[in-house]
Amino acid sequence: MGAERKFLTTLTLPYESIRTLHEGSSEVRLYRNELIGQHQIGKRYSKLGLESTVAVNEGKLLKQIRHSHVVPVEDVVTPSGYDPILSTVELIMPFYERGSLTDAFERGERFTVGTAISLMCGALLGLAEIHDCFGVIHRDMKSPNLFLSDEGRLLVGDLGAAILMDEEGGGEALPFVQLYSAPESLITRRCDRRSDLFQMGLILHELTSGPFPYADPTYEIEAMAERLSQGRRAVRPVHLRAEPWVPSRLRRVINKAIQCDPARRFTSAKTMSDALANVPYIDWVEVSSEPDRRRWEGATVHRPDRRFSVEATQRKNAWSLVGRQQVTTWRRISERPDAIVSSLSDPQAASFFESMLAIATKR
Amino acid sequence: MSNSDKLVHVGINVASGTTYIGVMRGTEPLVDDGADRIRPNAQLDHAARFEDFRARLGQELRRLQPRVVGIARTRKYGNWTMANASTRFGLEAVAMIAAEQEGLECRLITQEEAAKSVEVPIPRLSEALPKRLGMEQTPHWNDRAVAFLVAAHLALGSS
Repeated sequence: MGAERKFLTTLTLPYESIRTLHEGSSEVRLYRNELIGQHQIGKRYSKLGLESTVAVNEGKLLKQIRHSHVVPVEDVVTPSGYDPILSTVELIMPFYERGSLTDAFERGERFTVGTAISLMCGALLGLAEIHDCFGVIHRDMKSPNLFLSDEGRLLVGDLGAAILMDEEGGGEALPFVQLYSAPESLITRRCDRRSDLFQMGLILHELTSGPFPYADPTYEIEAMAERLSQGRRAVRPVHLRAEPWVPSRLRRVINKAIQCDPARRFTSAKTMSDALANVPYIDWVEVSSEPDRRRWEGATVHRPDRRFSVEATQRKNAWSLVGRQQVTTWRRISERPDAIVSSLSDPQAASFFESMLAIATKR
Repeated sequence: MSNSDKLVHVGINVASGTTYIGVMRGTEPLVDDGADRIRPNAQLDHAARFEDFRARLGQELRRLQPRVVGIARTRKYGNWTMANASTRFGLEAVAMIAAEQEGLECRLITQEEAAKSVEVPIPRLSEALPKRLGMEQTPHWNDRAVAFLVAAHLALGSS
């Protein structure tokens, strides 16, 4: 018996593969650990093209990152049965029932401004941990790589493409084009903290105004590469229009994060999080949505008892906006004249919501 | 010993609801580090705001890895509103918890004690401390100077 143990050099974990969640360049499998009854995710990467990543070289470092807003890497394993030339590495992570932000969008979930700010502030704390405490650049921040925990936190996940910062605080950009790529990734082929923050800015836009139309034909690789090579964003300006209820201070945070010139962006996740944490807002919830009549109600964090509403009614080719405040009953706000706008994406509609915020936050 | 190997000391001063941070690496102030102040998240309710503050300060301490964290005691003993006092003491308590959770030694330090050891007069702290430490005044200097005073007290005491 003792002699047999000497030759036992490989540890086999009791993972049963339940199903494949994603196929492609990196396969994602759902496992069930038969001994502890826990579900886990395994994300498998070919090491080819990822030779410089933390996952391939510094698996131990990934395991050390423990933060309430970072998906913990529970193990880094080498699956058996692969051609050694195409050697693979697999990151084992917890399984989150609610899935990624993209999964939530696909289920039709949308987020209020308050929830979006709260989620993003948390995720930025997670990113600050990766950047500032471990000297790592994520390089692949996108809504499929942010996960919603059961407690309602947004966690930075999938560190498979992450690299250690060099002495200049940067590194080589990911060698492929995607919707969330920062322009410098194609122009200088370099990235740094600010490239991750550019991607977080795009995700913040999605959180507040809905997901990008990923399948739009203008988002084919060649078209995106052309825009990026010209120093522009891969995401077209038409898809970066904010919903009218997104407050102007929040729009400014998003705009600063997604500047094409890295020098004009936030310099750290901490400064972006600070700016976001101090954005005043009414947490508008759409309570009625008919083709010709929409209504939003909300309050500020500090005065939840003082509620406001905006009602938009379509008449011919224009929308009429009426603002009200609830005292004992809903009353029109005399300080706020009603507005007529051609569409709800009209800047005047945003001004109308902004003026409601000014009234709500007036001391 | 290279500069990055020198011991780090962190001073903390809570003023007007904001936490100011002063960092000394060896006997030199660290001014362009990004750790300057932490403003509580104004959009969270009280409990969540304290937890958010703990997490953010804890992250700064984890990054800086100081030998000791010093928290400046207030010199103000009268004319306080309950709201101001409770915010200050709340943030100080949370700062102590954050340091404790990172396994760091944390001390409460009076400004008089620190000024005496650093050899600067408290009434002229804003002008005297930059000269004493060989540094420029940073943004938010009036409040941040106290944080640097405490950090300098810890650093000079250990050098």
